[in-house]
Amino acid sequence: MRALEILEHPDDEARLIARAADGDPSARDALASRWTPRIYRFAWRLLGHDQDAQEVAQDVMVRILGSLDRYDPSRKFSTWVYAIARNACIDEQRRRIRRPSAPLVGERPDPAPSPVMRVFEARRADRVREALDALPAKYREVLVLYHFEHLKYVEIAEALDLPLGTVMNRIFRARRRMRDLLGEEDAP
Amino acid sequence: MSRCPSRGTLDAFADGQLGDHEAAQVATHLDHCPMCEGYLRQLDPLDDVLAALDAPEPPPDLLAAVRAGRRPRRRLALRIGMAAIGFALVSAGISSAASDPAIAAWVRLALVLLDDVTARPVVLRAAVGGVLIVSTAALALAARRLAPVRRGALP
Repeated sequence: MRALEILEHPDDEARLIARAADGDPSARDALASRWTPRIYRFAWRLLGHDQDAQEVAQDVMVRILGSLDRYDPSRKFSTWVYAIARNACIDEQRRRIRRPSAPLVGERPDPAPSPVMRVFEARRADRVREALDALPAKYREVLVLYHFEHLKYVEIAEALDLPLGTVMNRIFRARRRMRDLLGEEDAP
Repeated sequence: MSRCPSRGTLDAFADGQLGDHEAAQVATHLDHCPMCEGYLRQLDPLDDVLAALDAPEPPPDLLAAVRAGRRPRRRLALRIGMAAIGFALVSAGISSAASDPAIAAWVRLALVLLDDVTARPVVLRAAVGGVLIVSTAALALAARRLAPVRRGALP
């Protein structure tokens, strides 16, 4: 898919965003294809609920495509997108009473070839999910942005509008909490 | 920090053992040095642990909805509903403010309550909105009936 391949270079991504802002349908489609799954997974990991993650992703992506003219090219597009998605997740969390994350177990794709391995992997994933859910939101969001979305410290600071030192402290503390929550067995 | 930090410094950074100033220098360096960034990520075993939490693929209709520019239905319905309730309350407030300040005060309070429940589940929001509208209408009706009595014009 050429439209996605050209996004590998930051300048090309900037051109694509500019074209999409001008209303080019193929550029808008390319941005939607690239970012909708990312926002969905980001929301899924922060919210722990599939339906909410879908709604947040749909809402955020439609809003982003509708406000590309307000995007400041001096910022990284990814940090702008994650900042909007993160705020939408916070709104969603405030909007609802916490729902159990159990349905995610059945929705997760099978990662292992044998039934025994599947059970083992599912149990392990459940423990990680529970540990992640048990983290305070401020730790969970930095961990998700760093480990799953592969943002750098500086990018996380920009996306969350926080000082760099705060982001570093939160990541260190989040890691320590994860280690404690997962116990010695899974501890890195 | 133009030169790459030593392995020892990077290890200390990963363990959170650097002072604030030095840690910030390393973090800034990591922003434009893929080699050091890669080294730190490979050093971090939490990546392997978190890899167990594999997020599912989004359903295909999600991308279709985004491409079509459709907002989620539930959110749209909620916004329209809340806007309608707010509009009804504001209208009631404006129309009754001239005749009865007590009702105007009640409407103001109702709007504050309505704003407060926007972070609650939909059933609660609908219930509160309904109660507010009905009670405002009842108050307005009662005030209209009592108005001649207050002015001393007994029926």
